[in-house]
Amino acid sequence: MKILFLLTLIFIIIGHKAMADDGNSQSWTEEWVNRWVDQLKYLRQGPSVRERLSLKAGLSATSRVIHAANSTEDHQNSPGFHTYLCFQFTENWELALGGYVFFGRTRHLNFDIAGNQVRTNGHYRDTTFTPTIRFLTPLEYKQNWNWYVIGGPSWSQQTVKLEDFFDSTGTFRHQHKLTLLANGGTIGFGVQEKTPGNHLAQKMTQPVYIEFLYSYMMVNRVTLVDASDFSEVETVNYEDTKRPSRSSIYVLNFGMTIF
Amino acid sequence: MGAEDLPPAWSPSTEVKAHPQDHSKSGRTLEIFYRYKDRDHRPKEIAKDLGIIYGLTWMLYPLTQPETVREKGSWVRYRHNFGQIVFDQDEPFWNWFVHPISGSQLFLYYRARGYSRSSALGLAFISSTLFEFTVEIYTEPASAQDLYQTPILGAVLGVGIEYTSLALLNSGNPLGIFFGHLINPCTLFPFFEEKTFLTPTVFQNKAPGLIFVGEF
Repeated sequence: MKILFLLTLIFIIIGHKAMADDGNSQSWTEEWVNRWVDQLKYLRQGPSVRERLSLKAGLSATSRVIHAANSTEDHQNSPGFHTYLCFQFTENWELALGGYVFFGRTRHLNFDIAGNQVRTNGHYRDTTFTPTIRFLTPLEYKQNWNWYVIGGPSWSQQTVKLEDFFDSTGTFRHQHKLTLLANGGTIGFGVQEKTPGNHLAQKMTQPVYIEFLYSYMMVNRVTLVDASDFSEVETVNYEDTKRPSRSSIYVLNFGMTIF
Repeated sequence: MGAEDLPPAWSPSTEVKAHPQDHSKSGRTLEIFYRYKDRDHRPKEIAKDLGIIYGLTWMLYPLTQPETVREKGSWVRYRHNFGQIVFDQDEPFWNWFVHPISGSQLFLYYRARGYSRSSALGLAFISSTLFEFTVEIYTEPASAQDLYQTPILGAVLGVGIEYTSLALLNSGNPLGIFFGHLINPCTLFPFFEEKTFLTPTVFQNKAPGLIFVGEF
């Protein structure tokens, strides 16, 4: 986690330095201020809102370690997909609303809820939302492929279906599922194709990207849900966790700009 | 002399319906070609389109989920849910199937009205947000998954449907045309802006030709 934060910081500093050193005859500070002024001008006078808005989507692969109650843990590899609704703020900075969905299967995890302890194997789903800020550096991996750093807070809901389970009071049923509300953060870096032309032309030529993310999520509420009627689920019980379970998630995303 | 100056030597019989809006004749037009063309909209048009969809959501929600509205809905709950946002516990069928499909049709409605993809996404986002925060709260609080996934997954799906339906509709194959309309029903309605009506003809110099009729 600390290493990734450090990497992010290094990327931003190197990016700024690289931009400032680009054929300048001015001081670093003057160059830095001028660049910010240029970016603010771009914000005011650049492409229209419609042109700045873009949608990205792609596939994901994750590797995660879930730490649950009673020191139980599970290492899980799972596929998924992701989307980004992006707004280009300046030429280098972009705000995005990211959504990630992963599917998997858990083994031998313990959860506590309302005085009942359940040990379960079952299908696992994770829906995570991350408002992110992305900085596209001028550093190139190779020609027309630029590095970027990305990060932001995350909120997620993880669902575990009770398929093969044992609970201490014997009240849980197969139609029940556990949902875990979690929050945390996501940081990472990636490389994106930079196609020729202005922002709109770049968007329409559908550049592709590949990125590596790290998320750390802490569960703060466990809810038991009765899903026997799939059209209308009912909350049976919930518990705000004092010693939260947590997940470390490594994500590999690859996708393209849809429009 | 250009082909446009030549009067047609042959044109479809007057019995043939050459334009789908010609209600004086029964039957179908010869050929209709579909495409999407972006244009700018006046604020009044945007407000009208948003208003139509918003009005439809008020009508369709109780019609599509009568039991939920009857059993769980109340104005007391509406006041309680107003402004709240939660993670819902719904099954994947709703969150990853029903909502993205609804979102894709919203996206395709705005596309049919001539909005660009980005604008259609933005308007679909506004429409689904209005639905979540002012209509659905009659029965349940606004859901974070629905707020995001309806327009975003809907737009991703909508772009796929757009490409597929255009290929099917312009294939000339009746089965293809049927499925094209099935997956993109907005192409059936008069508000779809970019229909081109195509009629084969032969000009006086015996040159075969096609007459295009488009609406602007």
